[in-house]
Amino acid sequence: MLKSILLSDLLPDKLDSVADQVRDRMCDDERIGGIKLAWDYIGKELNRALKSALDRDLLAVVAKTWSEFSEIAVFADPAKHPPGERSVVTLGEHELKRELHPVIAVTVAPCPCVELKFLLALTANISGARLTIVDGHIVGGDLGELWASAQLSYEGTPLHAPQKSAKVPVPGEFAFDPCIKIPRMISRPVEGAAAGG
Amino acid sequence: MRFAIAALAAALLLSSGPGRAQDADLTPERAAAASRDPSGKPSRPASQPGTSQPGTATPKADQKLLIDLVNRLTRPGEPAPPRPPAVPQPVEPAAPVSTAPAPPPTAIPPPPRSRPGFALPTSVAGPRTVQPRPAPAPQPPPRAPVVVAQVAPQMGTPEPNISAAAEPALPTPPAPPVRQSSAAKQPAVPPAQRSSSLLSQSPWLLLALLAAASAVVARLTWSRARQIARTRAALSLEPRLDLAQGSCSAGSLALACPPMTIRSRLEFAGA
Repeated sequence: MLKSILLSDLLPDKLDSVADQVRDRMCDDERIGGIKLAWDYIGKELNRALKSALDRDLLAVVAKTWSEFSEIAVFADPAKHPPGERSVVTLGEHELKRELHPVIAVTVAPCPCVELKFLLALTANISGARLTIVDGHIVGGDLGELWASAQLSYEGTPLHAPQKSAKVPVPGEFAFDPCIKIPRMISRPVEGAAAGG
Repeated sequence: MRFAIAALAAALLLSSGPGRAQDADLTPERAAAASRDPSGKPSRPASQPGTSQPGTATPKADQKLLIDLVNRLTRPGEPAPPRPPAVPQPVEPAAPVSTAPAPPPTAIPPPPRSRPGFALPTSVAGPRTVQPRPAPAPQPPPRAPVVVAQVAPQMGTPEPNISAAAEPALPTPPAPPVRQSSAAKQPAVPPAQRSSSLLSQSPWLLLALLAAASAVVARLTWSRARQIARTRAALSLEPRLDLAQGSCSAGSLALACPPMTIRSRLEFAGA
């Protein structure tokens, strides 16, 4: 089985500027600015919270992205693909881009909750993949090569340089648990032959 | 270099003759006494009449001057020794000495106070020199007489210490050079050595410094821990990530081959 790669693995160990960005944002509230808080401690906790929010399997995220394209979404139609049917779909080399928004709700005791919305721009390069779809769900597959990079930013300010993951060894076989459900109504066109969006 | 200059100056002074050197050493009192001298000859220092050697009297005055000059040249950092007290002090014992019945005849005529006829001017001049004596007593004695006392034996001129016999306070001057020399050596000690010696002499000071530093560190650590505890108690973080949100795009995503579909079913024979 393929060793899973987490989204948090694509981030650097330390995000030093997170605390400064969040401090500037939160200190807009005078009540928070008036409290003597250990902002470096808050920065560490935010770093941990971000990592925990991004503790997701990279392949699951990629599979979720695949499921939103028309080439895959068609297998969610029960009229064309009745229950019990097992379909194998082979994808050629392609690149996936995905924007994720990890959100951290920060509450400092006497003050109302402040939601900090980050942006994680994920780019994955896949040399080829074979997916197994059953009952409108991607249950697993095997992969040629995969490498990905990610960059975290807050309010348009990058918090670190883009960091690339190592290439996943080929061939790799994977299985999703739980399986990735293919949405029926969404079908995104692919860029180039069909633009994605 | 300084010694060379001093030696040169000494040679110049010696070659200039006793009279000029003596004129340079004149004090106002001496000038007044000289003006009162009926002979019109330059009066010798009052300390010299006690010396019974006429040939050495004149060079001795020059030697004092030389020593004074050498001291000034070789110790530029020290204040110049007060010259006037250097001469009057040896004069003071001269007054009682002058009362001696038989002053030895010298080439230079003795001061007139030794004569009975000039007792009045000398007696008048005597208190003038004695008066300043109590004043410098609490102060450190001037250096000049001490230097004379040191150098006189070097010169090898036997001089009866009549002044020492007359006044018991005069033998004390040898002490000041010790003080002066120690005072002169003090600035030579580097400050780091002094501080290290201070630390070595007082280990309690070092311990106190260490204790103060540890107290400061402990206080900072405690305040830091308290701040973190306060922040931890007030802070609440709730992270989340919704994979359904966010845009995505794919470049050249296409099926590499037609999809393969497998349908399987189990059929019973009786059905």
